[in-house]
Amino acid sequence: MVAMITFADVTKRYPGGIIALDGVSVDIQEGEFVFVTGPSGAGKTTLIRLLLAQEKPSSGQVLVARRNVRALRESSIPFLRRNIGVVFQDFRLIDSRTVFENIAVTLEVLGLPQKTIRTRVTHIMDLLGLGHLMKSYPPMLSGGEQQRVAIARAVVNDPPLIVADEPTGNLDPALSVEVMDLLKEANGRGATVIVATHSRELMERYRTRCIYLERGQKVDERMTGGDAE
Amino acid sequence: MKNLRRAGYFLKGAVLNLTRHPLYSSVGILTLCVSLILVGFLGLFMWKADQVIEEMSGGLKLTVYLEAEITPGAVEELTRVILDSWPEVDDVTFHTHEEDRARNRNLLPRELLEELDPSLIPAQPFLEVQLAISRVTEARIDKMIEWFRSLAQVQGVDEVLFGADKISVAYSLIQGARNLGVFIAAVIVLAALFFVVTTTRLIVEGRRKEIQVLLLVGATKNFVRIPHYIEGVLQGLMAGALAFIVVWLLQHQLLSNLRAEALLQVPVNLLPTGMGVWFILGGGVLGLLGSALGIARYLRLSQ
Repeated sequence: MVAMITFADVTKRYPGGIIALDGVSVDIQEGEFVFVTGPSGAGKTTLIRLLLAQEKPSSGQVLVARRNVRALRESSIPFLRRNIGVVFQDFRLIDSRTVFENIAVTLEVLGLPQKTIRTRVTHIMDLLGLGHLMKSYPPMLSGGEQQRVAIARAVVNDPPLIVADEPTGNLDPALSVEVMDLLKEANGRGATVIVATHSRELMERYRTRCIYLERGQKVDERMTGGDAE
Repeated sequence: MKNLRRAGYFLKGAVLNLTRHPLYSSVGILTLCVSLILVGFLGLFMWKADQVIEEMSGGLKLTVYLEAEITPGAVEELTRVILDSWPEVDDVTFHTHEEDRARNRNLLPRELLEELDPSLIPAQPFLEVQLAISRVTEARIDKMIEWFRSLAQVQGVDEVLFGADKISVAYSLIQGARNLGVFIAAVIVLAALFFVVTTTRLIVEGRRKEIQVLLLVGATKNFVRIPHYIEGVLQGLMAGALAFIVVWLLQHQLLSNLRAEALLQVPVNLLPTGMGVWFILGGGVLGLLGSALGIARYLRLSQ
């Protein structure tokens, strides 16, 4: 197995002495589905920001898809992010663009021809049951539909890594399961998926590895799910 | 091929952004338009100021009276020396004594002329020296006045008549207008730029979420920046055309009113059509500058 993500003794200190992550070491293998959980302020969001190179670690090493985030030049960050599909609790859709345009933006950034973009966006929209919403604008959609659009945007270019920060935080339990199933399907197609969540119910539903953070430190790591030991 | 596709995408993105955000686009165009109108009026003022003041000062002239026996060769030599010595001199014209007599005749009352023997009207050949006061510089004005005074000592020259005070006053007027113009220009151009940059920053702030999403899906900063620049240029071009139309209508209205009040009797066109091109180009440049400065800080702080 090859590690998709390696956190080696990572500490992230913010100005004012706040320590968001404190000596965290984690390996996540290619094709794995991992939950990261813990109470508010545990360091889940900081961990995701480090993965996306929105922050650099104060000490230790963060390797994502074999790239060292700490040593990454600013001009190389976009190329790292093209390997990562991101999903957020607040969806982060562009209100002035249609659903189609919101999903297409991931492929436009790659400079693909319009014809390819049209084909791939249409395909992913059909796959996620969004075909009828092509010309709709995000504010016209329900929370569940908006999150499905966000997932479509994250997976349309088949990234090797998908990172979701509280993707079900704004959704009811039924929709939460639907969203998690979509992420599981992406994992089934070969993507490594990391989901930061508070939801114990979701974690118990899937048999998968779960990393527990508390006050910036990794306090536990075990398998979840009905038949987990 | 990929670059061409990307250029097409940027252009399309810029045009779509204009239509996707009609409020922001209108505010941007209006801001640029108002700034261009201010800068345009100022430009017009500065462009015309020298000319107007020079016309108001009556076209400054010196009269160099010559001795009656002066030879044509000496007149030619004197003319050449004046023109070569002073770039501030616009023209030198020789007038014969008959022309001087005719000129003086016109100055005399008709009743007197009826009684007067024409040969008794004083006349003398002279050179009329026309100055371009806008070319006069502070360093040379006193030297120039002194030089023309001393011309009276030259053989063949009888007397030099000119109002040194008038030249100094006209020069001070021009200089004052120039300094004031440069000061106002600097203030207005800076204010216009500040106005445009602040508005662009507010517009960028309104589109913060869109820019953040683009960066998160792997857009390079140029990918965000370039359509924004093109959008700025397009807004500027539209604002330039609009500003020209507004300024043209205003000057048309102003001139019509002046003509109606009989304050203006000669045909004047303050704003030739060619100026439209400058307005539009100026708009494009201002739009580009505003969008570049407006987004620069935001992108610098964004990761």
